Amino acid sequence: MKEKKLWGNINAVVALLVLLFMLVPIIVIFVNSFNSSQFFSFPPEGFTLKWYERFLENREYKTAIAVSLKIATLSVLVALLLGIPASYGIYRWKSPVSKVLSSLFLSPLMLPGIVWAIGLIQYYSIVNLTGTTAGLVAAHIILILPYVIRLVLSSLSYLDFDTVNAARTLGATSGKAFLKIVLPAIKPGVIISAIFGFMVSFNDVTISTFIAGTKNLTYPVRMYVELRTEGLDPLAVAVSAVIMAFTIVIALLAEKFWSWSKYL
Amino acid sequence: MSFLEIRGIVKDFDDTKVLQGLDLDVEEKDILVLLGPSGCGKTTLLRIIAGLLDPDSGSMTLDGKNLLEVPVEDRGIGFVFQKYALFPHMNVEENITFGLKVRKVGKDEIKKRLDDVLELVELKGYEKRKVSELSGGQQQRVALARALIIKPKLMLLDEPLSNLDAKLRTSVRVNIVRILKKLGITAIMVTHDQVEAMTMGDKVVLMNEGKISQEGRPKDIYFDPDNLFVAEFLGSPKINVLKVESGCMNGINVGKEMLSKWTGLDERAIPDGTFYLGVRPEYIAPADDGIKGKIEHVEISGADTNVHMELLGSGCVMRVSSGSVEYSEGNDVAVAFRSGSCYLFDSSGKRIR
Ligand SMILES: Nc1ncnc2c1ncn2[C@@H]1O[C@H](COP(=O)(O)OP(=O)(O)OP(=O)(O)O)[C@@H](O)[C@H]1O
Ligand SMILES: [Mg+2]
Repeated sequence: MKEKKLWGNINAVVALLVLLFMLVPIIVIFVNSFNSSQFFSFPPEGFTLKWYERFLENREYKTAIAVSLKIATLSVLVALLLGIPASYGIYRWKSPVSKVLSSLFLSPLMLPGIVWAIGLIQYYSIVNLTGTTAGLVAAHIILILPYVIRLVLSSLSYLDFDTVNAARTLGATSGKAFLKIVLPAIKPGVIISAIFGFMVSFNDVTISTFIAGTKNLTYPVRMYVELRTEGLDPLAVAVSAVIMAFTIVIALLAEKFWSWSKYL
Repeated sequence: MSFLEIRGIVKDFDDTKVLQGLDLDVEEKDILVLLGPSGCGKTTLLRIIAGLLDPDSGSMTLDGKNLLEVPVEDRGIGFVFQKYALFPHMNVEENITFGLKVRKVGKDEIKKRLDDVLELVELKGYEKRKVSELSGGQQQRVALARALIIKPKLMLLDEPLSNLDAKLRTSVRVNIVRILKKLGITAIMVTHDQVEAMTMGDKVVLMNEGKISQEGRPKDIYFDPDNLFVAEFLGSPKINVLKVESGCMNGINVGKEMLSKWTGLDERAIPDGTFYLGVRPEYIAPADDGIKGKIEHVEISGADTNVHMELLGSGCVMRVSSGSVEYSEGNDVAVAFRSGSCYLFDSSGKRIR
């Protein structure tokens, strides 16, 4: 009994430590974004909003975030449009070929991003896609697609196909049965993969660095470039804080409207 | 021409032959019960009729129209699935009205038909319930209502009672028949359960290995089996089958005279060579001057008692009313077959008439 309690306490302490380890950088960033000192210091020297003002005046960061949002949204939409039918095809077409196909679709998950990126640059320079929006979106789609297919397939494994058959006998065409029965059944997989996919695209540095070009600098690439050249800039800290706050708000809103965490 | 006419349906799955040239006729407003061992192709046949599967060859007409040319969604055939296949994200009302909404039926008409069908299946007041919050029997009724509301020309029910407990089955069984009869709907129902088959069907069809073994009124199929398979499939306990080889049973010489005396059949009717003699347990009764046997095991199942005995070197069951006479294991008995109750089958299992 006593031993059990001891173990329970140890578990709680470990969990708390892990949580702290995750939360500390977030807290440091928030606190430091208000630090009046030009250089990183902890505890902060004084309170200021000037880094946020600088961010609001900074066209480059604002465009970079806009580019990131645009690329992520486009990539997620197209990846869903491609990934959902592909998963449904793999699910319906139960043959050895479909097994091979589904592992092929998942392989980008296992490949080191940088290896793939190097291949992509060479390929893109041949087909003239380097630095184009289409090229960047296409690359991000490939990054996202494995998540979509994986998660939608796992949702599909819970689908009782006789519900689709029932809809058909009741007068639904195969298209209508897909919309009214299959889509609602795979909604969890679609929502989670959209959220994951958005994050993957929004946060990607490796692929985007290689093929973004100057026109399509996404915000992590811009930040990475600035960090490499200028060192840790309070402006970058403020931008990070904004993005972090934004993410948390979105996650909370999504939770409120779709309660997405229950699907995780 | 029958209402539903099925001719020469063949269906293979890769290398499993499932249906092997099946013919079937269903008359309008009849309830036809499909009975058969597991894996004989009952579900496959229903799915082919509904259009959920395509046959490899054969033809089907419903009400004179070629069914194979009509896509599933236009066939107007109601299907009740074994596990109900209710739409989990819809409530009771949404489930039931699905078939009307996809056909763009008007709001008032939907409301009216929903009310009618809810009344019929006794689910008034459950409209807004989630289907996962219903009992098995209620889910079954939602599945039935969902299929009924489209006013199907034909209703297919795949083991609709198999997920209900024994007590509920009886009442649901009566209800389904009542509803189908009231609406005058032609139906094909699959079951494993012979009591269900006997009590629900206007016609019973026994399937075996992708073909129809026998079809007829429940009474006929039980009392007048065409072959050994049908005789053995129906009845509980199973019919007793005694093998006769050139006048011998398990080496005991019986001869035509004896056989004639036991079965009440004319001596000339008894074949030479190898054949089978079938007699149902309820047609065996104790008789002082009868065939001598030994009681091996006694089983009381309520009103009836099954007396398992060794008779002419084979295991045999006699069914008697409980309590009339005391039977104990190890005792000797003498029994007789009720006259006219023995069936003869040739060595291939075909009935000798
Ligand atoms: N999609 C399929 N692919 C391959 N074989 C199948 C498929 N569906 C059914 N079968 C096979 O066809 C045969 C008949 O199946 P079916 O489901 O029609 O039997 P059933 O008579 O309904 O049996 P049960 O009483 O157990 O439901 C079985 O041997 C089964 O394994
Ligand atoms: Mg079946």
